[in-house]
Amino acid sequence: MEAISRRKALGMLGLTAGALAVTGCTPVKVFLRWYPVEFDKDLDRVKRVLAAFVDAVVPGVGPRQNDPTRHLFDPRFPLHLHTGYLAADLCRRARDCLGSPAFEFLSGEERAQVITEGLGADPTTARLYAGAIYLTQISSYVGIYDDSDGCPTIGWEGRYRPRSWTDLTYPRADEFLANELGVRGNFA
Amino acid sequence: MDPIVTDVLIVGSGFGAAPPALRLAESGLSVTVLEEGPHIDAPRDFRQTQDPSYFLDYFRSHQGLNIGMTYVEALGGASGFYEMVSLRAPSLAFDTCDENGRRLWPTSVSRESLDPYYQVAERMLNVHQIPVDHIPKSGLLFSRMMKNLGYSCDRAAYAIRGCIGSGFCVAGCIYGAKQSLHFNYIPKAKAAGANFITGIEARHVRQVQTRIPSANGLPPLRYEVDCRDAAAGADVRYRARLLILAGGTLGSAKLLLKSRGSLPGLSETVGTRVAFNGGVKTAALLGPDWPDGDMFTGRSHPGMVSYEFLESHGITVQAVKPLPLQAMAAARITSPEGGVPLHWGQAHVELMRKYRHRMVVLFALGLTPPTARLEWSRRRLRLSLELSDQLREYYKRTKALLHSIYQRNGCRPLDVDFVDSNGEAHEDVHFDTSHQVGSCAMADSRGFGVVDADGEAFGHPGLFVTDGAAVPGSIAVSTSLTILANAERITAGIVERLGGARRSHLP
Repeated sequence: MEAISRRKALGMLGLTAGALAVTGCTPVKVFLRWYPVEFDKDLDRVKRVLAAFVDAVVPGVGPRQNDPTRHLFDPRFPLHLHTGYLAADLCRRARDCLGSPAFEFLSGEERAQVITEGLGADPTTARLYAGAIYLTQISSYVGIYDDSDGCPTIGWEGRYRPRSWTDLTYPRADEFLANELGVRGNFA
Repeated sequence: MDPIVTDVLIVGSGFGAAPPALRLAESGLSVTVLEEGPHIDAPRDFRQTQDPSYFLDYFRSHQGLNIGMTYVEALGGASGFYEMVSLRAPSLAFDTCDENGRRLWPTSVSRESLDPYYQVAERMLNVHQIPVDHIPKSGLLFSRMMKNLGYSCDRAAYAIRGCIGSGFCVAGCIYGAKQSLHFNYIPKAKAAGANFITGIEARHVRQVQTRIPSANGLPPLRYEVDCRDAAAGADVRYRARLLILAGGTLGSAKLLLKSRGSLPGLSETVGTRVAFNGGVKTAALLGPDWPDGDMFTGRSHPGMVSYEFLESHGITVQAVKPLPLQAMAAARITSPEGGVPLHWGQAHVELMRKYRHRMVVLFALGLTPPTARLEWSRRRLRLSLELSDQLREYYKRTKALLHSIYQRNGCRPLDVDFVDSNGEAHEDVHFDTSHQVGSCAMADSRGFGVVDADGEAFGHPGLFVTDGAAVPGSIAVSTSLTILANAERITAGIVERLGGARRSHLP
């Protein structure tokens, strides 16, 4: 288990402009990785659990990369330090709430129930869940890994594709215009 | 450390820095411009992207109590990354008063006195009203909403040449259509001899006694600025006859606050009266009778601004088109009639499916009072805004007005919770702005501001503030053109005072 100082962890948790993860005090169990060791050793398991998390947060959207959890492991975002904890916590809550320790095998409704539990947990855990949801939504809707990628769900095409002016505006745009108070756009 | 000597030292390279850099270099003075951010080779360095890493190379965010401020650190300042809206401040803005009825702006500065400099700025940036057939659909829908209610709505003016409507304006225009400072002031200033240095942070200012006499009618070398050159990994000291602070509302205030001990007599008002243009954003779903809008096509700003409520409510209203990253990173948008959970899961996905074509976002900017504060404390710049009853009432009333525009047009307002850097909703009213001004405000006397109407610091001849920090109040429209025009006005005054000063022969 890689040691990580509290100071370093707090520093890495800090989020920059644009806001993409979690900050603040994280419980000792996060710093000390005080959760079942399998979640540190079995990366495939962690990825399966977190893929189920992503699918619950943005059902049917998902990042279009091969790995739907890429953003959670991206070292640019502080959440990558806590993927093991997040996966373990999802499974622990799944067991406590629903009697099944395998979050990834729950139905969509059940996953939503578990995540809602996490959001209502202690402030630090709630922040972790909120940050993971936030980052997942940004990654899914925005297309942060490929400028030409987009998100079909919201009709986002990514980088500009040439189109004519008639596609950008309405025909007979004049009919939409109200009276102008200003001169060349400027109010007196 | 031997100082590097220059006639004029300008800290910052954005809208407040460009006019003095150009005009003073043209006057024959040696001009050095220091920019903390990276060099930008426009348009080559711009990207049509939503990659957060790209934005974090240039954008900075300063979060404080009840308010957050965003700014750009890069050559040309925000000019590479703004939406190009270039409007003159309405006359009303110049007549706003503080809580004691004192006019915020110096007596001699008004819209009328600034108009000639607005003209200069508009000419330099090629500012024109948007042609009707270039107005994006979302802007036209907003205009029709206002028309339906018998209200006015104006086509906004932009600093642009040869726009193809590719969008991504806030990421920088890869086609070079946006007339950022990289295409006008900066190359002209360089051609006139100004020296632009990027990646260098001004850390401390001091006024020094000098025995070197004035020459050619120029003031003595009386200001020293300690800097850190990040690229060279070295400390550098500059000595200048004129020191011009144009590092932005946060940057200029920070430098002065840190240097207060070396600038005796500096006004106590530095950072105490920061204005923020009171932005209130709302969203709604278009009613079934409305045609589709489009959040993603055409220029980033939808082209229309309404002054209808300026006199009655102190606000202007415009539609906005947040790119996905802006929308997702700034707010949780939920439908009051959605399922549970609201801000994620299936209900949220269904709402987001409507984002591009069926959602409309209205944004009000207001003549809110300059009540935010910047303080230098424990080696950090701290930002705060006290939420007065009046400010809460302003927010509530403005939001209600925008919602009434939606509702009377058959549109359905959505719940918008703005989020903090953790992705969690703010618990109280929170203002986010990139229109911060007034941290080193112009005023008629030292008790009310940091610099006089000529932009010169009270008690510190030769030290000027020419950026948004000098603009003393909210103006209810984008601040860029006013900052540029005011910098032109202050610079014209400097040039006039220097008279026939020619290039000095520096020791």
